[in-house]
Amino acid sequence: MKVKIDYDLCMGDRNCNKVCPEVFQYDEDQLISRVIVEEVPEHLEDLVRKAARECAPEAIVIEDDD
Amino acid sequence: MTARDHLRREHGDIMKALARLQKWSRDPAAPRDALREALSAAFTFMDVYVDRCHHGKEEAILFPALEATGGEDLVRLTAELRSEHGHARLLLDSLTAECRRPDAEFPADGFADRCEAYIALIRGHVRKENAQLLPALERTLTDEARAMIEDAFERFDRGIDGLERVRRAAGVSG
Repeated sequence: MKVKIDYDLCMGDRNCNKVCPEVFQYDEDQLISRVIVEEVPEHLEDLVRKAARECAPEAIVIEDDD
Repeated sequence: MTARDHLRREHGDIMKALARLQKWSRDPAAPRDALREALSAAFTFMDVYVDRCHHGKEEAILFPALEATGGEDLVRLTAELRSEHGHARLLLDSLTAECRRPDAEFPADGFADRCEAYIALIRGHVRKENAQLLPALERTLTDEARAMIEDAFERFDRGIDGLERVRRAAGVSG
């Protein structure tokens, strides 16, 4: 699984960073979240999906391998 | 729903509406009538949902509650946010007026850039509120005060003319 953030939509409320800090990091200067992995480790995929579901502006875009 | 979640949900709706507005304003091939109609709907949403409803209740309910705690940082923050609300209101009024000009004058040169300036202002404002205002709300106010604020938010929303109509038009839940 790959994941990216639509920066036109990211509102920087840190929710994804709280849900899965191993994948999402908050950029204190730009006030947005950034993805810090190329590929989401399998054991974190459910957390990334949870972060995407909870993202109010729907800024988290998941690209499944299959 | 908590007061924080109420504002956070609206911030999400606002970011999505800005993305739609940006898509239209950047489309040089859009037929003028379709562009005018889409932008007019977007500006109506920004006026009713963003300015009168969202910014309105922050200014009328949340900011005074935070300012009453007496923290200098909070007073400075709310002054800054009020100023951004005012700036956004002026830009929006100007864009709305441009959208109503006769065909020969719409869209005028630089219109897309003026839309971008408005979009950038609101995006930055939302991110600043998420980074500073919402944590301050949670940190500074008591559970009881936050519950009273949420009740006041609900009452405030019910008093906004046309809010349900623009929510429905934009696919935003109440």
